[in-house]
Amino acid sequence: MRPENGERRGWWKSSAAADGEQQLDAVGILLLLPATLLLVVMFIGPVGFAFYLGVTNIALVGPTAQHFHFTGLKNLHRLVNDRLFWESLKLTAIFLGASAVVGVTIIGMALAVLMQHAVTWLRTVVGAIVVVAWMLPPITAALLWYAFSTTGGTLSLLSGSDSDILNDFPMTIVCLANIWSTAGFSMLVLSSGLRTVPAEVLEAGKMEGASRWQVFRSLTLPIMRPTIVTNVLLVTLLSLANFSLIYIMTAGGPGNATNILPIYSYQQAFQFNKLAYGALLGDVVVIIATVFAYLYVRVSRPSRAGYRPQGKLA
Amino acid sequence: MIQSASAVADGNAGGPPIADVKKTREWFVTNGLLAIIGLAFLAPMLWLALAAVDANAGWALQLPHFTLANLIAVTRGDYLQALLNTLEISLVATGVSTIAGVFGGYALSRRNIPLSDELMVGVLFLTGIPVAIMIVPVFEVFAKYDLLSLVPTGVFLGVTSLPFALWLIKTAIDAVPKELEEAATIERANILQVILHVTVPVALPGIFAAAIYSFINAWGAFLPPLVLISDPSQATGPLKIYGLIGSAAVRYGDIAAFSIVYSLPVVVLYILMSRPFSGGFSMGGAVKG
Amino acid sequence: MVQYKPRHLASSFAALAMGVGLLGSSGISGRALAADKTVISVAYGETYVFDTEDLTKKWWNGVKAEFEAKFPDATLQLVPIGGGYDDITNKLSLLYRSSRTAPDVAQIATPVIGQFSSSGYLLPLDSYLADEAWWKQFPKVIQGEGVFQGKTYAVNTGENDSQLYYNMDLFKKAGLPVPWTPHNWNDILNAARTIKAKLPHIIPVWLNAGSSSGDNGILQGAGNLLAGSTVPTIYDKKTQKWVVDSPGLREVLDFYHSVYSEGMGANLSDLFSPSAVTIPLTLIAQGKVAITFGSNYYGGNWTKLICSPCWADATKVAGVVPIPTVDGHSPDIATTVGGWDFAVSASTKSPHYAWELVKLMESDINQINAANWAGFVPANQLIVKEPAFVDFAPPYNAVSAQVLPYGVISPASGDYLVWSHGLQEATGALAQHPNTTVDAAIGVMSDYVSNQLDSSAVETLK
Repeated sequence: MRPENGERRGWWKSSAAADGEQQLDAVGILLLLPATLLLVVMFIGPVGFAFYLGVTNIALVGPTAQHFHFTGLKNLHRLVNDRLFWESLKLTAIFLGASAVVGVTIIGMALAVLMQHAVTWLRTVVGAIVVVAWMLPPITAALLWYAFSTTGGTLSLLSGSDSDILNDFPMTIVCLANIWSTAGFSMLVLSSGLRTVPAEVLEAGKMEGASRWQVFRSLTLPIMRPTIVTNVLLVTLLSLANFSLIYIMTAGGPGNATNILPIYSYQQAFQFNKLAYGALLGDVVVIIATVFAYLYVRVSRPSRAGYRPQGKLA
Repeated sequence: MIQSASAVADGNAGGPPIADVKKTREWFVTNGLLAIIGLAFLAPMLWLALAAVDANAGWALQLPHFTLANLIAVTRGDYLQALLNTLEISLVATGVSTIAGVFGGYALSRRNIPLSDELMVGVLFLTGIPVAIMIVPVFEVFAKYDLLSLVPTGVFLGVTSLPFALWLIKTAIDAVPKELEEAATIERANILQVILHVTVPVALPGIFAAAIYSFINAWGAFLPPLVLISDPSQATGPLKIYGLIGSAAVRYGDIAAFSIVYSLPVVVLYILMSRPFSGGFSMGGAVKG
Repeated sequence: MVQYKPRHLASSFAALAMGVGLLGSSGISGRALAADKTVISVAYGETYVFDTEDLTKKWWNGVKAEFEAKFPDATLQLVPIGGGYDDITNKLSLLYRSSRTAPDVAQIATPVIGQFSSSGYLLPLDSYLADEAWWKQFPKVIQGEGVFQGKTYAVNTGENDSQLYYNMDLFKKAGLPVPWTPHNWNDILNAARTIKAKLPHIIPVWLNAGSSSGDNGILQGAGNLLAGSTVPTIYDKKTQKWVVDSPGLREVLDFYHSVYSEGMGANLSDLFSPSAVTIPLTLIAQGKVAITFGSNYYGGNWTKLICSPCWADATKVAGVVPIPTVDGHSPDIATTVGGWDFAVSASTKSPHYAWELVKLMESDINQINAANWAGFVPANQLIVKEPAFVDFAPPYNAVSAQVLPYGVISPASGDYLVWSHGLQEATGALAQHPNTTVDAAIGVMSDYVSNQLDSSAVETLK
C-alpha cells in the first residue's frame, strides 16, 4: 500500500513542503532566525571548532596552549593505535546498549503498560517516584547511587554482605543508575504513545479470543513502533550526553572499567592536559550521535507506509 | 485535545467477565509488579532522606543521629544564594529555549523552509552531543566578550536544550489542525497573533514539555557553570554540591540535605505541571494522519 | 480544567526573564568597580586548600583587609575557585587564556607550575626576589620548584610532606615497641604482620591505592616509597624518557604486593572512595587502623580548631615517625614534597601591587596562619621553628618540618600526570586483585604510560 498523494511523506517533514510552494518564505525564515542564530553561534560553531582542534596540538596549558598549529593526521594516528580508545568505544557500546536500548525501553514500556491497568493511587505514586528520579539533577542522582552501591549502602545491605558492589561491578551499577535516571522520560513518551493506540483495535483483538499478551505483541507493539524507535533514539542520545552521572560516580574507574568515550575525552582534555586529543575523542562522540540519527531515519522511514490509525492495517 | 491518563486506563475494564479468579490474579500481578518497580526506584533515595537528618552522616546507610541542623544550614547563606542563582540561570535558559523554540518550531512546521526535513534530523542529532567538547571554545568567546556570568551561561544552557525543544514543539504544532489557523487568518489576524492566540494554546502540552525539559536541563547543569562561572557568589547548586564533595573535610549530612533542598523545586514543578504537560510527550504528530 | 491565558503567560514570562536578567547583570565581574582604585585580583582554591571554608574566608579576608589598609588606592578582588585540585588547575588554565580574565596573582599547585611558566602566562620574579630576606630562608630544592629555563616564576606558600602515623595503644596491645622507629620497609611490614596476628580485626596498614584521589594519592602514598627506594628516578633527564620499570618501582610495587596479598590493607571501598586521602584520619582516631602513611596536616586536623575529625587524645595515642628508606640507606627519610605557590601573571597591569601582595602573603604571621589553617609546612626555615607553628600541633609539626628538606619534588612536565596515573592504576590493581604479581603490576603501569605517551617516551632502568 503506497501512501496517497498529499499524504505526509514522513511525520518529521513539514506540512507545508507537500504543497509545492517554491518561493522563499521570508516570514518563515525570520521566525526561524533566532533559533538558527543561537544554534549556529553557540552550538554548531563550537562543535565545528572542536573538530578543528582535534587535529592540532593544542594543550590546556603549556607551550602549545596559545600557540598551537595544525598537525595533520598525527592525532588520528594516535587514536587508531590507542588501545584505550577501542576499549572505551566498546564500553560506550555496552553502556548505550544495556542501559539505553534494553534497560530503559523495557522498563519504560513495562511501566507504561502496568500504569495503564493499575489502581489509580498506585499509578500516581509510582509515576511520581519514577518521574522524580528522572528529574533529579545528575549530580544528585550520582550521589544517591554512589551511596546506594558502595560498602554499607542500601544495596550492599540488601545483598547481605559488606561488599563494595560499585567497585566490584562498576559497569553494571553505572548502567543501572542510568536506567534509573532516564526511565521516567521513557515512561512518559511510551505512555503517550500507548494512549494513541485506538481502543477499537484492541477490542477487535480481544473479540477474536487473543490473550492480553498476544494483543500486546501483535497489535499494540507494531502500532507503537514509531514511538518506540523514537524513544530508543532519544534515550540513546540523552545517555550519550549524560556526562556528570558517571563522572561523579566513578570518574571512569576503577581502572578504566567505566571509561566511556565522553569520560575519556574529558580525562584527556582536562586531566592530562591534552586538549587536542580530548577534542578528537569528543568528535568521535559526535560522529556516533550522527550515526544514530541516521540509523533512526532509515529505520523509521519504512514504518510510515501502511499504518493508518483508522484501523486499516497494511 | 489533552488526554488525561485516567481516561484511557479503563480501556480494558469493559471486557467480558471471565473467571474472577483470573482477573484477580491479573490484578495482583499488575499491581504487584508495579509496586515492586516503584520500590526499586525508591530504594536509592533512602540514603538521601536518612543522611539529611543525620548528625554523623557518612556514605553508609545507617539509622540517623537525628538532627535538623543540616537542613536548616542549607537553606541560608551561600546555599540559599546558590539556589537563587540556579533559579535565575534556569529561568533564562527556559525562556531562551522556549521562545526560540516556539517561533522556530512553528516555522519548521508550517512554513516552507528549504531543507527543513534535513534540518530536523540535524537538529535531532545535536541532542546527543556532550557539552564537554564545546565548552573550551565557548569559554574563549565568553571570556573575550566579558560574558562569564550567570545570564550568558543561562543563554548557553538554553541553547543546549534548544534542539530537543525545537523537536518537541514542532511535533506538537504539527498536530494542531490547520483549519484553526486558517480561520484566524480569514479574520485578518497577523502571523504573530495566529501563533500566540491560536497555535500556542492548542500546542501547549508540547510547549510545556519543552519548557520543563529545558528547565530541568538547566537546573541540573554541571559542566557549563563549572567552566563558565568564576564568581563564587554566582555559583549554582551543582557547583556547591561538587565543592562539598571535594572539600578537605567532607560533611555528608550537608551534602544530603542540600541535595534534597536543591532537588525539591524540580519535584514541585512536576507536581504542579503534571496534568498540562503529560500529554506533551506524545509523539502525537507521528501517528495521527 | 485549568484555563491557560497564553497572552498573560507569555508576557509575564518575558517580564520575569528580563527582570532576572537585569538582576544578573548587576553582579558581574568586579572589574566594573570604583574607577579610581587599582584592582588586583587573586585566584585561589575555595574549598580545597584550607581545611575548612571558614578558615579560607578568615585567611583571605584578613589578607584583603591588610592589603587595602596598606595600599589605600588599591582594591583586592578575591577570586575563589571551587572544586578539587584538578578543577582549580583547569579553571586557572582557562582564566589565563585571556588577559581579561587572567588573575594578577594566583595560587597554583606545585606540580603544574612548570606548565604555566612554559605557556608564557607567568612573570619572572627573580628581580623582585633578589632583595627579599625571606626568600633566602627557603631550602634550595623548594626555591627550585618554580624555576623554568633558568627563571623563577613562583614562590612557595606552603608544602605538604609525608610521615608514618601509628596508633600507640594498638602497638602496645600487640606488644610492639613504643616509640616505634622503623629503619627500613621490612620493619614496617613486620610490624604490620604482628598487628595482623595479634589484633585480627584491626587494619594493619593504610596505604593509598588506585586512581580515585588522582596524583594526591601518589603524593601521600606510593610517591613517598619511590622517593625512598634505591632508584627513585621518575623522569630520566639524560634520555628525556619516563621510567616505567626500574628496581625502585619494583621495590615499591613489591611492598604493595606484600601489604595487600597478606591481607594487611584497608578495604577497597574506602581505598577507592573519592575522599580516600582523608579517611585514615578518622580510622586511626577510631582505633581501626594501626599504621598509616599520612600527610603533615594530620596533626592540625585533629586539633579543636580544625576538627576534622576532632581527636583530643591524638597526642597521647598517635605517634609519628619519618618514613624510612627501603633498606635504611642514608638519610633514612623518604618523603615527597609538594604544595602551593604564588605566581604573578605576565599580563598584569600592576606588577608592583601584585608583588606587594605576594610579599604580604609571605609575611611570617600570614605564613604561620596558612600553615596551621591549611595543614602546610612553611617553606621558610625560620618560620618552621616558630613556636606558633610548632606548638599548634605538637609533636607532629616538628616532625613535618624535620623531613621537609629531604623531600623529592615531582617533575614539572605535564606528562607527569600521565605517569602518575599509570602508577595509580598499578597500585589499584594490586589492591583490588591481591594475587597480581609485581611483574604484572609493572606491566599495567608501563602499558598505560606507553599507550598514552607513545612507547618512545618511556624506558626501563636497570
